[in-house]
Amino acid sequence: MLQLDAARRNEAAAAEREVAATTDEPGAARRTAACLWAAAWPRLAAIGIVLVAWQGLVWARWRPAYVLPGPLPVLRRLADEAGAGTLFSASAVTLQRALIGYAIALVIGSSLGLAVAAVPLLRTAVGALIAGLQSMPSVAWFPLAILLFKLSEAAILFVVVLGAAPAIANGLIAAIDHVPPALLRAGRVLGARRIALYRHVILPAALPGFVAGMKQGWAFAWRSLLAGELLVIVANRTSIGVRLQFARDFSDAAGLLSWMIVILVIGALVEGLVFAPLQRRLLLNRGLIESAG
Amino acid sequence: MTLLRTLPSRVADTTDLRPAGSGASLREVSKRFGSAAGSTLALDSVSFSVRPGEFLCIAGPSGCGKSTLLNLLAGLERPTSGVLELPAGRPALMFQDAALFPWLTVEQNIAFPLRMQGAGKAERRRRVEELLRLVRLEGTGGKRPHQLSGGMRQRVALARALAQEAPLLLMDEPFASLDPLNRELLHGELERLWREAGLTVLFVTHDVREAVRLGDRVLLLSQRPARIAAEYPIDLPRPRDPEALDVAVLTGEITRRLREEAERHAAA
Repeated sequence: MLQLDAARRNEAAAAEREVAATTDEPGAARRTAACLWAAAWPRLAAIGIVLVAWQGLVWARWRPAYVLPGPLPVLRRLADEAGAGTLFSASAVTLQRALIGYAIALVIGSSLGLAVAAVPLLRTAVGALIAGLQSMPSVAWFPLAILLFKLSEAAILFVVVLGAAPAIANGLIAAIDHVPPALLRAGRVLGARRIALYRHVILPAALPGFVAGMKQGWAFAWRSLLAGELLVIVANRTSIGVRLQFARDFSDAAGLLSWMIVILVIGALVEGLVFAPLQRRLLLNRGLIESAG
Repeated sequence: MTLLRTLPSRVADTTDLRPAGSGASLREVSKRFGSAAGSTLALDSVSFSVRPGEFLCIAGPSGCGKSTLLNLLAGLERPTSGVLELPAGRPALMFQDAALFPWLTVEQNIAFPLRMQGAGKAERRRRVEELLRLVRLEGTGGKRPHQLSGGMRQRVALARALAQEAPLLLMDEPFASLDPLNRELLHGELERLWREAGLTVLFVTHDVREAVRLGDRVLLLSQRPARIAAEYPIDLPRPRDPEALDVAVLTGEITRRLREEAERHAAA
């Protein structure tokens, strides 16, 4: 998907262009503010529309208020959780698991992807298997994970890694397969052989596709993790999943919705603060997208 | 007998000994692609040599096997039969598409072959600066390839090829995708670099006028399977004006021969 998009953008932007850098002028601060506002208002407007629609449903009495509370009680509840510190402690537990699981998945996924892309025999052997693993719902792994690791951190990490690693491996394999042959030829002619060719040509050329795979891997890790936290409850580790489960058990609709918002916001923040800027910088540097403004 | 020689320091058992210079020679080199059943012959017993310091142009109809010839000389493919003698060290090869690395700056692109050779940082910086000056791209070292025009990109590719300090520079229709003005400009630059740096150039093109503009000699390849169909020494003073009468007359003559060659094979 990203490959195609990038190629299309590249074609559209094939005409030569000059990148003008003019930031050290007096109006720069004002322009930055205007820029921020231009980026912020559509998002704020979208959030506003969702809140209004939600409130509309509540006012229309589609469901009773103890089943579907309005945005105000939910946000108030969110503020209470933040004030009591539970918001942060639960998020910290969940995020810690996510980071550890994702880091392991990154190591396993990228080494596996590299090996499969580089060794034809390995590709024949396990290429299709990795693609199949990616489409396997992570929830399906939990019975086995609980059998192997009991109700423990390891069981959750096991599933997070199995959810994310195939996506990362597949991203890297596809990215390496799509390295333009002209660059490989140039690399060889210029004296890059075997490992040097991988290090200096193939891997840098594959980086944008790899980051796309990393991003997808993160999404899979986050999903698997939340599924895991609902199924595998570890004593004294009050995670977001545990909070969500408690809210369900106590028919606490406002709590349920507020923890769902936390899950959504963390997902959006990771995408917006980590992956989007990283991808943008990569594509800008290579002239695959135009610089805005 | 299949014989492949890529190291001239070890050509003892061949009769055609040359001084350890920058020339190259092919003797009865053939290249066949595919298996015995469905194979095609791309090169049919091609023999010629490039003299050290020479600017040799090879012209031929498109699809005649010109690129195969360059791939053999660049060591990207091996001949099916025949003897290939190359100077020590890998020849540099420049493509029609600049094939610059988009994640590297202009400087880093030019320094790439130096890095592969293990040159130190200071050495790389010095050489890159020199090469940027040589191809008249001072001040663009920090830019990325996509920020350059097509002509500038080819200059960077040329500088990158020159950075290899290869004894032989192979060029595969390097200016084919440029507009006529830029092409003419780069012809002049290349001629200047060839003379100043004492390069040995093997320049492949389908454009006869370009071949006559640049070459000391023009070899005409036949339709596939490629053989040497004719050889033209170009004894015109440099720099040559492609619009001048003597250049135009010779271009016309070679073009007629090229057309005959193409028609003869179309009829056969």
